[in-house]
Amino acid sequence: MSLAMRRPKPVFEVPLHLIGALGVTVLLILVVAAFAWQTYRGTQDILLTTSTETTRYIRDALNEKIQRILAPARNQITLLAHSGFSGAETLSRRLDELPLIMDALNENPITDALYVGYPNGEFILFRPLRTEAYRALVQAPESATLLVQSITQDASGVMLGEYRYYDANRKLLDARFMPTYKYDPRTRPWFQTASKQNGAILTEPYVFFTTKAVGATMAAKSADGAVIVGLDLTLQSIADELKDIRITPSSELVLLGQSEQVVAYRDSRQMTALQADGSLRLVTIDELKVPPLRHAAALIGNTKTRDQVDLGGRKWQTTATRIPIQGSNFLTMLIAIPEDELYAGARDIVENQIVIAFVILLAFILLGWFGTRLLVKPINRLAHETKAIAEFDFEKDVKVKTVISEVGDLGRSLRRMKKTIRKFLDIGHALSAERDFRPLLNVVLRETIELVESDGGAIYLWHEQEGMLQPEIVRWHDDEMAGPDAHVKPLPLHSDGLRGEIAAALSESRIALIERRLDYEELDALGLRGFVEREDAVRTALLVVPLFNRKQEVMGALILIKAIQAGEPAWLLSDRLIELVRAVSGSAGVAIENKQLLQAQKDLMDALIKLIAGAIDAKSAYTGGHCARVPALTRMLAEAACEQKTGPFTDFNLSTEEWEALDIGSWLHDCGKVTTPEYVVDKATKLETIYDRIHEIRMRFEVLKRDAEIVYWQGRAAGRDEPALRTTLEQTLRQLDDDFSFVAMCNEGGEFMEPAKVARIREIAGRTWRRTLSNRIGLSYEEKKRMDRTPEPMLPVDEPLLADRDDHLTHYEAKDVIGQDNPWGFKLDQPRYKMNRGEVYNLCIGRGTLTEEERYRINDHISQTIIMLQSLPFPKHLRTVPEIAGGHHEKMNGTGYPKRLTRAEMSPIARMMAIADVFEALTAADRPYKKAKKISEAIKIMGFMKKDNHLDPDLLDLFIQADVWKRYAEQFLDEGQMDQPDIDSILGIRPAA
Amino acid sequence: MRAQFRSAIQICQWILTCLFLMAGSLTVAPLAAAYNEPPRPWTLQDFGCDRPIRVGIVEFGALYHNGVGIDADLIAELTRRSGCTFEIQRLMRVDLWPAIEAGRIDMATSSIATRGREKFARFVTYFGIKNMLVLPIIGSAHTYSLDAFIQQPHWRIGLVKGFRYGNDYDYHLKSLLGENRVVEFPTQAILFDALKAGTVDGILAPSVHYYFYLSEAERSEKFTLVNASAAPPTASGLALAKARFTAAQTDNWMRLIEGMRLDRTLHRFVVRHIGKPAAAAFVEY
Repeated sequence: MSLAMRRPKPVFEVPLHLIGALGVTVLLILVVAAFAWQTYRGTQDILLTTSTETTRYIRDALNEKIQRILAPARNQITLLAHSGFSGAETLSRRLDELPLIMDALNENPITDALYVGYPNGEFILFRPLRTEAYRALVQAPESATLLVQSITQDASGVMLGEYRYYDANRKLLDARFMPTYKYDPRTRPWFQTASKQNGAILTEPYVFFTTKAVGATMAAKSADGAVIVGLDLTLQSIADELKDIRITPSSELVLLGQSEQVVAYRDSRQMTALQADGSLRLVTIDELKVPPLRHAAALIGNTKTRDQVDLGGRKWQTTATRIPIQGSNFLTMLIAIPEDELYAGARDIVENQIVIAFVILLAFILLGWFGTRLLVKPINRLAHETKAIAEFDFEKDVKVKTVISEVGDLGRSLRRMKKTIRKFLDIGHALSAERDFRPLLNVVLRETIELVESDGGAIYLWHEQEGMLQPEIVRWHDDEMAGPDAHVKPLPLHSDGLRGEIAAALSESRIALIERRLDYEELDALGLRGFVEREDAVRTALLVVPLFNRKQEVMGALILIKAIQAGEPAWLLSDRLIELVRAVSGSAGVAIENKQLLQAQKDLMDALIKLIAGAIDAKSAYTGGHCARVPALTRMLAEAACEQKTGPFTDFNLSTEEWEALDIGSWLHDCGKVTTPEYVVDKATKLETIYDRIHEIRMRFEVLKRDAEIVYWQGRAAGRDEPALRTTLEQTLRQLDDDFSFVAMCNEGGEFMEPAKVARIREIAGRTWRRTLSNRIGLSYEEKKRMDRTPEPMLPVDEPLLADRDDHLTHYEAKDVIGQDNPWGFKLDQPRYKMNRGEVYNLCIGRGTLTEEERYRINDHISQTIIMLQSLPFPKHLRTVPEIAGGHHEKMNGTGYPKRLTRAEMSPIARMMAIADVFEALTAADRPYKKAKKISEAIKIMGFMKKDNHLDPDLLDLFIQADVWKRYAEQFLDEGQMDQPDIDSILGIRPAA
Repeated sequence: MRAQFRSAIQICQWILTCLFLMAGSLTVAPLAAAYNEPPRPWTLQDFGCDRPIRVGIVEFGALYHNGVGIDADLIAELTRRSGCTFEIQRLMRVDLWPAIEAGRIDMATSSIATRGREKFARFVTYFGIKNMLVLPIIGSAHTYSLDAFIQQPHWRIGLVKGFRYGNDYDYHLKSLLGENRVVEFPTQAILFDALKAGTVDGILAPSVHYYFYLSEAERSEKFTLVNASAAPPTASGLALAKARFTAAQTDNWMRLIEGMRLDRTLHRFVVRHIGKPAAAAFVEY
């Protein structure tokens, strides 16, 4: 398993207020659904019952209606039966009954006609003219209200049809013979049936021939049995009544006669059908083409009176109810009600309930939402806070405003937890982050004081040399009591009283809470009196916490002090808090030890660096102190830059790490010099190598002088002319002396070697001397190797007095060659040879004592510095050290060494290093090749370098303006060098473009 | 002189009747303009007038008085329309019905049907008689009503003997008769004379007589007409002896009367004899 914790798979999570709202919603929906269903069912039953009741009511109403029709009809028929019609043998006499008839017709509007049939076929009918259609049909005069149709037998026995029209005042308006009016009552069912029965009879409903209205005929024998009286009852009023009876908008209702013909239906046009003879008949229920009613008709004669049918996806409730009329006569009422309409009321109630419930639900959701938000908001805040804690964000404070005590408790607990964690983390952070030792102690103390809420405290560290615990830092409330002001005294390990108790606790490696009455003497011993006195305390409590190192050895103590005032309870620290303090002190102890170790390592490293620098300085007496002075000067210049509030260095600032890098870089800026041979560094004469070869040259001159003398003496011995010999000898000696003097003078390198001097050297070099001894023996391996590059001449051999021999040349080894594509970015003009020790070559050095090769070797120290430093495993914050250290020979115009960096390519510190290096070199008193320059001279030279764009002009100006040079001079230069430079002229110099 | 004149009229009528009989033996004139043509032309047989019809007429004010009146015009018009011949016999009212029952008379005018009369006669109504109370004008403060009359214990009412005034009046008259407050007279003319003479304190008479027997000055200044009964006008018309006319023939006479009513002939007769104001109430009963 990887170190990284596997993230748990996220599960589906829902906010609490959503759950609350959803819960309320679901609960309410369930309740509403249950209630709605119950209500719907209940209402359905009620509506079904109501529909049954309605059916019964309609039946009763119709029955009553029919009876209302029949009762007066029966009365009328009775009156007619007892009227004068029976004895009225003439039409005149029959017409005399007109007042009675008109009154009867006026009284009973459902009576369509009154008539009397006579056994001889005569007939009289009284028909009110109630409709315009009928009035038009019978061509009634305008104000006619009554038509009397009569059939009478005339004197010749012919039946005579007549119409008479009367107005409302019984005034005769017209009388017409109607030859086409033929009617024999004796052929009619009503006449025939009534003739055979006593009492009134009622026919089946039928369509009246004349008025086309649906009705029935009631007929009865007259009181004396002579005639049959009858009346037509229109059932239109029943149909009208049916029209008004609509249980639901689409419900259907029909009245059927005994032959299942439609007697009454809302649409009377559908009730009749045309017959072949032009008359109308009532349609049957099957012909009515109303499927629900047809289905209801199936109930006729069935024991069931109610049924349900599904027609085209619509459910209908059907009922069939019999309505008795008279005797065995009855009507059947069929009702069909669509269930969707029947139960519409129930549905409406449920819908209303749902709407109300929805409104309530909405209110509940809102209430639930806000209610749960009341709960959730602080919980959310706490959740955010917990999340923030989980993410180590302790910036915000947990402020939970809630009226819910549990949430409040949770918030307070979380706040305490957060505070504790934050303190612990702050301490841990401080322990790990604090780079410096003292601030670390300060942080540890401050945080621990806050943790235990004490008034103050102190950290003591064990000092081996003194053999006691020394107070390192003291805090009282929010203030750090530094140094002597604190007046806190060291703590010996062996003492008595309060100090003894502290020492005992420490020696026993335990945390001790010591509380006692205020005792200034004891506090004086600790040096704490001053603090406690301020608090107006009566008691003091000390929490003594030992600080351990890794080996669990007591390395110090953390003492926390609380001044307890009168009436204040004892300082009670919970076990958990003490454990926390123990944990903190453990971490603090380790951190302190770590810091001490780190500090020791750093100190060691600093010491090593300074050791190296010192060794370099010590390597050459002439450059001694350079490596120590340059860091000081660089630091001065950097400090001056940091202090700038205006100008180009306004924003310049260095962190602790950068200061450290600056120090190390400047201390090691010449570390490459360890690779530079001392004889090169310190080469004081042109012929100097490990030793000054002038001596060898002088010996040759000495040899030549001896040779001259030998020649003199040999000439004398040979008897040659002594004066001539002497002259030659003296001249030779003098020449040799002069020559040597010249050579020796050249060797010093103090003068420029103009061509004449070079020519003389070459002339002198042309002189030979005889070597008789082999120069290939007694040599080092390397020299022998060089000598062997040329064959050894036969001895004795005459050799030039000053020679540039092949063995004077040292070639580069492959590892020494630095190509253009070197990894360090060096841009070097490497000389052909590593070393050229040719005598003439060296003596002909134009200025100074160094050959090109030697100068290269000296400059090579920078390259070597860079190579060496880059090879070191510097920590990240010190990675700039090679750049700082290796840039001090670079020039701002890009002609410097070794990388030819321009100003823009160099860090400010590296540029500061260049200035410091130059100024130190110019003013150094220990250069072998020159005298120490005065400040004014040095700065003047640096002014040229500014002009030549070798030095950073801004930094040089800062160097001058900020009196860096002065502070440096006061610290490092001799009095004799101190003078006032021409600052203005230097500042006025503008670098060449 | 008057008798001679009447005889001359009767002779003329008889001659005319004969002429009509001769002419009408085949057909009679159309019934009336309002009536369309009958299915077949009427014959005298259809009216039962194969011989002259004996018409009994009683004195009845505007209807018949001294040979003149509505009934006289009616008979003349019936003669014209039916083609039948009429023999008018003037009778006292009390003698009329026994004459019809005995077969001496075939027809009577201004007759009211009763159960007893219907045994031997059939009726064809042509007007309505409204019997009303005629009272002397006493003063504007007086209440003119039957009840107010009855409440005056000494007031007597005058009637025509044998005349039917209707059920409504009969009950009141019955009580007045018991109090000897009813005085009967033989004719309408005598009755009105008794009223004028103050013999009685009020009379019951058909409203048509009020207009006939009283002058306009008397009507406006002395006597007032009070409708003292809610009963409808009593149908009055021709009485046709069953012995002479069949039911079918009776209906034909009725059709003639209806024709006269429809073409307003009857109305003209009434207007002629009692003036326009009373005419409507008389015919359009």
